[in-house]
Formats: sequence, C-alpha cells, structure tokens
Amino acid sequence: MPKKYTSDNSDSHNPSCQRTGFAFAGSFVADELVVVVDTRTMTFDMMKYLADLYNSNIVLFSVWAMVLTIIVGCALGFLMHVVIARTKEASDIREVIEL
Amino acid sequence: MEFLCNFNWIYVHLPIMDTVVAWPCLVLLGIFAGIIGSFFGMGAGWLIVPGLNVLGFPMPIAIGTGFAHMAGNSISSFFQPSRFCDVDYKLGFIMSVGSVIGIEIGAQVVMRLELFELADVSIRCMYLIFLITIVWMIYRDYREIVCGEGRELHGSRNSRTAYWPKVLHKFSLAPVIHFRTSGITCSVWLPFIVSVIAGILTGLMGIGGSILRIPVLVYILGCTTLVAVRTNLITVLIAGLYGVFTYGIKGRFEVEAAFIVLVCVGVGLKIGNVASKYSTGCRIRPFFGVSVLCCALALVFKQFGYGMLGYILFMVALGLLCCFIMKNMGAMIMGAYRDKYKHVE
Repeated sequence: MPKKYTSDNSDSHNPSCQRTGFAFAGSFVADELVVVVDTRTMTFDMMKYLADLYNSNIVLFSVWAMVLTIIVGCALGFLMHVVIARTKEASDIREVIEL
Repeated sequence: MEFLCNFNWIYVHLPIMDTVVAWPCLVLLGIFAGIIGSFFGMGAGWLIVPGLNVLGFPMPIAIGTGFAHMAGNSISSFFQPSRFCDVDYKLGFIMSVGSVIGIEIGAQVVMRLELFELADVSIRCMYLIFLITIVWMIYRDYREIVCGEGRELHGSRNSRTAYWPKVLHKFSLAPVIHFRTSGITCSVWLPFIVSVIAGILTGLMGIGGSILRIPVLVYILGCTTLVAVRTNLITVLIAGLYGVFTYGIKGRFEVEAAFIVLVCVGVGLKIGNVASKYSTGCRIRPFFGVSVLCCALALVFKQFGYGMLGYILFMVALGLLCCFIMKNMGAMIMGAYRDKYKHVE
C-alpha cells in the first residue's frame, strides 16, 4: 500500500528539498506524493525491518508502532516504579516547602 | 579515541525525514519537558511538539511522534496499582470513543492543511495562542496568590462549580446514564461531545486534551477531582495509542525519535513528580511564565526562518527552569540525608 505524503511544507518549490530523500511524484503543490524510506544504507536490523514495513505495509508498521509504544511504556513504568519506591524514604523525611 | 574525536556518534538517522538529528537534543528536550510538565501538573505534550518543531521536525511528524510519549507514559502511570481505584470505566469508555473520533477529525484536518502547505504555519499559530493563554493564566494565578486578589474570585468560582453541573444535568437527551463511580447521572452526549472537542485539539496539536477534559469533568459534569484525573488517564492512554496508529498509518511517525523522547519524558516526569513532593511551585511561577513566553518566541523565530536561534532560546528557557527546580530538590534531598545521619549519630 503506497503511502501518500505532501511536500515538505516550506521547501516544496526549493530544489534543496531533494535532500529530504522523499520520492516526490507530483506535478504541482497540491498533488499527493508517494514517499519511500531509503533502506539501502540501514544497518540496524530492527530499524531496517520497520523501514521496510513503512514502504510495504503501512498498517502493520502502525500496529508495530503501537505495540512498541506499549512495551516501552510498560518497561519504563516498571523501572520507574522500582526507582521511585527506593526514593520514597527520602521524600517522606521532609515536608513540602515553598520555593 | 577516534570514536570520541569523530562526533558522528551524537547523530541519529531519522529515516522518514531522511535527516540526522543530534540525539542529546532529543534527550534534553524530553527530560526538560517531562520535569516541567510533571512539576506544574500540565503534562509534557504541549512542550514536546513545539520543541520537536523548532528542532526541525515538520509539524505533522512532530505531532505523530509526540503521541508515543502520551500513550507510553499513560501506560507507565498504571504501574501504581492505586491508579486503578476510582476509575469510572463507563465514563472512560464513552470519553475514549469521543476522543478517538476527535483525534481522527484533527488528524484529517492536519493532512488537509499539509496538502495546502499550511500545516506548519497554522499549527504554530495555534500553539502561539495556546502558550500565550497559559502565560496569561500563570500571571493571573500568581497575582491571586501573591496579592490576595483572588478571594472574591474563588468565592464566585465555587458557586459556578456548583451551578453548572445542576444546569447541565437537566440536559436529558437520551440515553441518560448513571455513572456509579462518579456518582453522576447525565446524558451520554455531554461527556461524548466534550471528548470529541478535546480529541480534535489532541489530533490537531498533539496535546493530551486533559487541559479541557479535567476541568469539564470536575466543573461541568460534577465528578470529584480524583475520579476525573484517573478516568482521564484511561482516555489519554487510548487516545495516545490511537494517535500513534493514525499518524503511523499516515506516515508521520518517526520511530527512533518517538522512543528516545518517550523514555526521556518518562524519566523527566518521574523527576518532576519527586521534585513536586519536595516543593510547590508558587514562587517559581513567574519564571515558568517567562519560560513559556520564550517557547512561544522560539516558534515565532522558527516561523521566520531562525530555527537554530529558536531552538537555543527554547532549550535555554526550559533548561534554566529545570536547573532551578533541580537545585531546590537537590538541596532538600541533601538536607534530608544530613538530618537523617545527624539523628543516627
């Protein structure tokens, strides 16, 4: 499923927009443009997999984005819960003060 | 040694924009936004999106990327079991549905704006209005606290708080539901419409929408503050995940940047949370107001092509505020430990 991307807002008429690497395909500004991510230089497997998904199956890419967000959120929550539990002792010592 | 001399390691490649960004910039932005958002109880989304934008992200990608921290940090909040108490799941479900619809409307508007090359300028203008409103509210609150001018105002506010729920609960367009945990009976359409409006704001600007939902739940629907905050957390979680999905499907989600920001905002939120236990922020509010004003100025600089200057102003303003908060927290922790060891001796 091809993704659609409009031109990068301020640079659409500017030749320097080529540096963004988007595969522009449109005759004028209001056309919707197809975007692909250049995966040729990617070395990290996970990112290459996600970039390939972005190019080939955007729905699955979005689902992965959601799943990874949940996993990172859970890991972060667990770690912070442990850290905060350790600092609780210190926070109980002092009363709230006015800055 | 060559690794240290060659500064390429500080850059992270963002494949969708096909550009490189120095990851310490993302780390600092996340931590600063997290500390300030948590310390002042306003969340971090309203600082992350403008911050990413002045860093060089187009607004739609900044909004899409910002949704990850919104969802991720809502999930991490639920690791405290007490957060599950006082959640009105029925109300949460209705508000989540409304928020999802609102986010989709907002995201579609962003896509249309982008089509006409108006996304960046229009969303920056919205943020400018939003940030200046926050500055005005900070100034008003500060005057109330310091000058004691707010006594009469508080009185009238309390009477309004009691008045609006009574009036709006008479709005009985079917179906009318009793929300047991909240202890209110009202038309389903009332929280639903509020959530759609908050969702549109979320989809358009990438802010959590709590700034609208919580006051409405408390002052207009008549929920207790605890129920409102915890029910809103469920709504933010579902809205955030849907935001990640819908902006992902539109191709406006930078995975690496999203997770760097998510982790750093999470750390910052916890630091801010601890800092707020040691001190309250009444006297620090003027500095907060100036920092928010600097953020608004940074967006203006970005709009007129001075992105780097805008970014420096943005980070210096947030950084100084964070240093002030951390300095006070550090002093309190050191003092607490000194007292403890003196007591042991």
